[in-house]
Amino acid sequence: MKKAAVLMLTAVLLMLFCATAFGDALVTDDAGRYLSRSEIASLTEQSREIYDRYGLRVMLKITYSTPGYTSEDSLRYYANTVFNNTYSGQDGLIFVVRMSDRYCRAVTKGRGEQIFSRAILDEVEEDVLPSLSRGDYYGAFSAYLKDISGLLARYEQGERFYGSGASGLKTRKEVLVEALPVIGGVSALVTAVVMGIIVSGMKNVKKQSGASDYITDTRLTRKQDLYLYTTTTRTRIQSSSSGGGGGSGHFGGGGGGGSSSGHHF
Amino acid sequence: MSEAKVYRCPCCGSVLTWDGRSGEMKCGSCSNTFPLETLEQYDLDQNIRDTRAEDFQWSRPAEGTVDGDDGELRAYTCSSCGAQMVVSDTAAAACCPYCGNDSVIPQALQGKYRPQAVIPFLVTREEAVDAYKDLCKRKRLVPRKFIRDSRIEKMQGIYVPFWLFDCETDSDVTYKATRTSTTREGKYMVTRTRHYSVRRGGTVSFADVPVNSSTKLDDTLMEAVEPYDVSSLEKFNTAYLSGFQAERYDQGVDKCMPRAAQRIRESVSRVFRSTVTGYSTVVPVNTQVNLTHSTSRYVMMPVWILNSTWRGKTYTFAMNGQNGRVRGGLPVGKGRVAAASLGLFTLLALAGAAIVYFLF
Repeated sequence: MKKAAVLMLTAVLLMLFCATAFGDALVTDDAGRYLSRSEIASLTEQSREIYDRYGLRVMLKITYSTPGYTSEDSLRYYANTVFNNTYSGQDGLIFVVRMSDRYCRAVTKGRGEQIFSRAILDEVEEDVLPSLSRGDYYGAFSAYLKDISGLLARYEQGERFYGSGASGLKTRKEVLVEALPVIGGVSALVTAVVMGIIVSGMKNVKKQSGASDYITDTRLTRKQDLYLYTTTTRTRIQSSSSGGGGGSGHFGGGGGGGSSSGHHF
Repeated sequence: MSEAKVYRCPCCGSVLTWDGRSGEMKCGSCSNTFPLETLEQYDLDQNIRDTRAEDFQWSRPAEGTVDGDDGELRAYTCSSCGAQMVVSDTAAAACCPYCGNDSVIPQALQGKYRPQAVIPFLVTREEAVDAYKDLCKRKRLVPRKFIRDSRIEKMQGIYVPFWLFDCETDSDVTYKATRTSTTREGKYMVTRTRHYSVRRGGTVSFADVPVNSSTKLDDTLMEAVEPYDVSSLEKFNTAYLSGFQAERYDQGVDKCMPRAAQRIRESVSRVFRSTVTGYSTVVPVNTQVNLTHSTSRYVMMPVWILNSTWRGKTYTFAMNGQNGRVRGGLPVGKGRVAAASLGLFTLLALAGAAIVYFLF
């Protein structure tokens, strides 16, 4: 009897562990000190809602270090591995925050690669950086999930996040309103230039500057090109510093999956 | 006692000294070295002096053609109705205000004022009027009221007096030129600039460079309707003037020479500049022009002119009476400009908004 009870308890604990490790591993805090249990539960619930509605797994992971994946660029491979180990073959994205160098990066998989361009992932990350900087990790992750959910809703309505995606978190109308002063300024400038050209063409009276129409003969009899000296200037080439993240690395397609550029906070 | 010769560095101007090791002249300031032959040739280039238009040495015109008188009014009798016409001293043909008869005033073209040649009118009044209307239609910003009020019937055909100048020039032009190349050497971008002293010289001949010799007609407008085909010049006959207005010169050849010299100098500069190629930068230093075999003659050339007044300002239309070349200032309708600007701005703004909305 006792043995049966112990075995059952072990099995239940094991199942709970597995559920946490795999089935419910949407939000994880490896160090156990950045998110409370209730916060993890809340975030997991939000992520599950996204999965239920859009069929995409959104994983959030905060950890102190990533042994074996210490460089900034390798964080994307770490994220890729974590996602594949948990949700192999599924669509989604994983956002990893590494506290040892305060670096974060997102990786997309499957449909996630089609939906989210690098630029839009960068924008979402930039949106949560202030919260991460001041230590509000729950707030950062909550905002991250909210942004992703909003983008997925707009994607379902036909919007696409291509190119530089400067407008990713804003609606088209908001972008248009913000761009109106620039559009007005450029239109005014072009109008002024065009009208200036037309008005100046109204007066076509110009004094002749030369008498080339009356040249009857030309003979070049003296030609001399005399080399004098050389001056040399040397300019040091400025080397570009590597940014926080994967640089221009590929996104979308391939075995590595899509990825954000990565940010420090 | 002869003057001591000093060689100066073309780069920094310091005095050069002989460097036995290199066998060349060396600058103590910038350390550049120069072969002696290069310095002597460079020295010759520095002796080329700039010739201004007013320094041109023209040949004096033939006896009998001297500067004109100051303008006065004179009275003439109309050969058709006998009325007394009062015209300016320089008028060689006039229209009687009483009977409308076009009269030639032979006395105005005697002696020194008799032209040596004339280009007859080839463009008719109807063609000139059509050209004017076409010009106004093409310029969409012209107020329509201006066209209606411009009194096209006042279009006048005028024989304009010109001095034509022939000359041969022997010129030398010096330039400072550079050739630049940039290469990468390790962590540096290295730019090497080679400096040259360039010289071009030769002869350029000019024939029949025209200069307006009447102060009553705007020089800029008269030059704007050029060129004329002077091969069509005919020996002068007062019969060509019949039916047209005519002016004799009131600016003698001396007063017109500077303008001819200015145009000739500019053309010489351009001709030789076009032969300096293969350099990154070319800056002219001096242009020396020597005139030889210069001659001048007094001719008349045809121009159609219409003066219109619009809101207190006069707008003059001119048409070359030989080849139909049209020039003239036209007024700009403020209302039309405003409407066109608003329309263009609206179009551009809508296009910009559409691009931002659908692509971002």
